[in-house]
Amino acid sequence: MAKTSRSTKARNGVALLLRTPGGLIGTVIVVGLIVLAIFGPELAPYSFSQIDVNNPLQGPTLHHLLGTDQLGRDLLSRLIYGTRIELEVAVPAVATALGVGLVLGLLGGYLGGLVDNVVVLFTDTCQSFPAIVLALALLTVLGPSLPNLIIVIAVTFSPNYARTSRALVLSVKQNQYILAERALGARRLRIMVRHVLPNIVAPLFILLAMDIPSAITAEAGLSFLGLGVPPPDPSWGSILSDGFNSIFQAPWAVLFASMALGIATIGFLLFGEALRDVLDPRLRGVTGWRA
Amino acid sequence: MTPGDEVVLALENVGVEYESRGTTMRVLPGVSLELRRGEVVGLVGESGSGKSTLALAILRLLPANGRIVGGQILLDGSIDLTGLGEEALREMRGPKIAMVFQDPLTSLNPTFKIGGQMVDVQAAHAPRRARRVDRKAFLEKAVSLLGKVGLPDPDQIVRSYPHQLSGGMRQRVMIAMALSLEPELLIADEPTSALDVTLEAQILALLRSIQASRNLTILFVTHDLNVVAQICDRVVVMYAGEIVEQGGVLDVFEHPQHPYSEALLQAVPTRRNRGRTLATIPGQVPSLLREVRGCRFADRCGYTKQCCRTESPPVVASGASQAVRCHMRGPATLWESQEEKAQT
Repeated sequence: MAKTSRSTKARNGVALLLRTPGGLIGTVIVVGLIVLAIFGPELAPYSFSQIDVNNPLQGPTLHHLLGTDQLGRDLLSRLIYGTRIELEVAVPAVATALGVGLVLGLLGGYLGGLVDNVVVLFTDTCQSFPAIVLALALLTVLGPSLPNLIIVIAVTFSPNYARTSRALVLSVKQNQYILAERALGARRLRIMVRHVLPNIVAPLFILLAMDIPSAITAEAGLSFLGLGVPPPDPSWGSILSDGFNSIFQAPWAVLFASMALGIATIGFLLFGEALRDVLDPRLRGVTGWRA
Repeated sequence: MTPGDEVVLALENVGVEYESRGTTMRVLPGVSLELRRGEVVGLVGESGSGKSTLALAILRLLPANGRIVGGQILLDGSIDLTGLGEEALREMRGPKIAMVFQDPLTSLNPTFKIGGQMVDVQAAHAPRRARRVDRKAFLEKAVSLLGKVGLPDPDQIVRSYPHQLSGGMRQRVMIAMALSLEPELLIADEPTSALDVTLEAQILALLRSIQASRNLTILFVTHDLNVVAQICDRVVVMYAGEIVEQGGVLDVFEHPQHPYSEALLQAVPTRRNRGRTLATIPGQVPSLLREVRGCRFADRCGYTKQCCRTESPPVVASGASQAVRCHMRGPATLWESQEEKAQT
């Protein structure tokens, strides 16, 4: 084995990611969404707020590829602009939730005892509220805005990460290599960070990828209730809720916004799964085509 | 290779309890044992006899529901391991006492390369400032140790993940990792039971040569008497948490003094009993949930007398090297009862 440099390693990683059909599709969708989020204003045919009063609630036409909403705003443009808002909310929210949950889960699962009791108490308390009620309560206190939306979604999602990572830690802790490390005098913190953490991140990536669309949905739900992204910013949730009011005259808004949500969900899911396989050296080279 | 008189580790009346669902099990009632510098001691007994518990207790690595109750574990005659705090213990584990485990397939973290793990182990015991600077030196030491434990192409091995190595190779890596800290005492908990016989012989020969070259003390936990015969100077036989007999390997194997050791040795397949049904020991290990009165082996012993049921047997010195826990070795001897048996 020749010594591999960092760049070839990275190139190998990307090749592994694209090797399976699922990984390829997922990566294409995720990269596509990111491109739309960054270059949305350049790519969109109209501005998200440009009103075409004469043509409201239209179906797809040559002028408006995905039709228009009740104010005659171009749906395609609004969805493209919305992509940026979705990612701006969902990615930091889920990342924060992962970070907070992971630290809590690691501490609780590895140290046990009193620390564990506190962590479990916290997650149980949070999860005993219905997520939407908790989010509404927090948003009412904090007031609706983009940063608050991120905080609220992070808070409601983090107990799930704490629980999952705690459970993973408890099972990894049983492994003999943890005992072997302790028998050779490794420090607790070192065991947690170097030996437990790498063995639990792979499954958490799946959860992360599944939660990005969930966060998008949560944002949509809160926007639907009027506590999400303030109008006129076009989040997918507000497009859905606007379209919902006129679903019988023109189902296009609901249809295309839902499709955007669905495609994003599938994309992140496939991407997360492929990423997990790349990150776990045990699965490398073992699974070409997964049965 | 002659073991000196210096005691490396002395267990004095070490008791261990496990607690599960509110009930307390006294797994080790009180074990006393001495390991001298440079000797290889075999700890044998059937499953559940407390061998592994004893090994883990020495390093204070008992599972969360187990604890040491009473007794002392004296390292180098002065440090009592039962009284040390977590950080002090951590410094003992590795440089003083290292341990190699039963299953090499799960003893290495699957997400790291061998080299990284071996460097980490050494770095954990390096002085704080040296850690960053010496990684290169640590890696070189890892490579040279991997070579010493008989792995071909160690430069390649340090760049491999555990799953790329076979079981025998991984066990060699574990041994090299333990040796990298230059311990005084190596506890090997059935290090060959997951390996096939040829590999077992290789690993045993390796341990033997390392032991000789470093004057290492090894506590070898096993249930395989053939392994004991190959590698050990002294053997300690455990039954139901108690040491029932200990002594030089040859002495114990030629003249077992305890009925249990005798029965164990009869259960070993040899050339002489080829083709015949192997002897077994009837009955089973007594439950540890209730207090055992008298001798723990009384129910399964062929020589049980009245006093075996009521009184704990004394530990009696026997011959040059042996000590045995049995009423038969007291005033009334085993040979007498054997004669009685022959007459009936």
